[in-house]
Amino acid sequence: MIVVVDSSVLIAASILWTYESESGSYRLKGKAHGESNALFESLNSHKEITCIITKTVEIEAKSALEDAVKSVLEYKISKNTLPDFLLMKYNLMTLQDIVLNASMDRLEEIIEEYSTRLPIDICERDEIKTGEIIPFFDELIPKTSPFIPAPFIPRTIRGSMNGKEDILRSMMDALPKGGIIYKGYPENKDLILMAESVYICRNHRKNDELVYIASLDNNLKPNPKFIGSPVWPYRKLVGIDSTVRDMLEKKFGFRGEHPKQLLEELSGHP
Amino acid sequence: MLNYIIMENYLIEQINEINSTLDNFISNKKIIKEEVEKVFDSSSKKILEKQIRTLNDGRLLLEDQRIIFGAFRTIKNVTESMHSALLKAEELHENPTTAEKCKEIMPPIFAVVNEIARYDPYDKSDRLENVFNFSRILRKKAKNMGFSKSIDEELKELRMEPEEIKEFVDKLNETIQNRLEI
Repeated sequence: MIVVVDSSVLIAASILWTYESESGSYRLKGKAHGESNALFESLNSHKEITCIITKTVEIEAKSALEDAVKSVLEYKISKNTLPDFLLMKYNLMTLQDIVLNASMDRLEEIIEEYSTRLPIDICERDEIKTGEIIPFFDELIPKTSPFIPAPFIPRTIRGSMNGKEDILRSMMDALPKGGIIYKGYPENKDLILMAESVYICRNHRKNDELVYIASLDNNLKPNPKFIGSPVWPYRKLVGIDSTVRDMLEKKFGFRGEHPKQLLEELSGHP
Repeated sequence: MLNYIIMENYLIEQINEINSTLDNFISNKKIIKEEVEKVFDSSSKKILEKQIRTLNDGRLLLEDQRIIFGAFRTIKNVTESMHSALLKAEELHENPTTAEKCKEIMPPIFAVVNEIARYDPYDKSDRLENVFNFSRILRKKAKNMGFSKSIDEELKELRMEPEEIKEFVDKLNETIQNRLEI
């Protein structure tokens, strides 16, 4: 088995900064840190499984970390004014440097400790991306939707309705559950990762072993199926749609999976 | 081309002074505490001064200030760790081995300083990626050789109220979570 790790999982596993002092404790912890970190630990204990973190993923993860720090710094500095501006700026710069370096150290440790890097022919990868992956999505995306649209409720009913959540829920339950649910056109970094995974399937896979992409990103793993926009107050989760993920697996050979599901798969692995 | 460091101060000379002091210790096979104090105290002050000037430099974008400030901070942490190691060398019978170890750290320090010196703040196409990358290499090498500070020591630098630290960490947490909401 080969597991290609996406930048989202690498970031989630890297972010754990805790500092305990007399004045209090501070904790910076990535969402899905637990399962992402557990995935690396599990992969490490299965020596027969190849864990791959490509250079593209490493660069992407590092710049995402830097971007997060940068935006918080901009936010905090824009909110402050004189008289202690310089001292505040010095402290914020120092704090962000401490936190960023600690996260980067952890990220580099994960790469060193857990991953292997296989050679990837950049020209061939780019040909796969432009010649196969992009046309696949160009054809597929118009047939997909990020969510099942919520039913329209006339204003007359909406205004007078008491307990409207119940009514909305029953309307939602009556809706057809069809259609392909997919997040939307993948970003360039996702297209590159897919092309790299295809390259790995074609050049480094032995005896049809499984190639997984561990990811928290809905462009790579099965998508949650919502009725109503994900930002809509009465959205409802009605299941998981793995159609696009399965199509990618059938056509290209790699299977995108959330770290939690991958951990379950690994627990059954000898 | 405008030269960022030479134009404003004397940090390269300071780093050169540390380098030649280490050379003297190695050739004389003896670390002289008074010289260590003199050279390293002065370099710490100058790096701190440079950090503050960077934050006050209106020509630099906040992002550029962040990278240059971080690079100076790394150099300062490494040279301060060298400073305390050199002072302890005699009692640990590592005189002049410590000076030789310190000498090994000098090339990555020069690499960072030279990369900053090459930066032209008026050239908008100029990028500071290398400064950040070389600074990470320096940090890594220094850590491997035992010239790094613990988080506790690093946090002592801060003059922040616990509430302010918590606020920053919480905001960073929230931003990262939002970015991972994918």
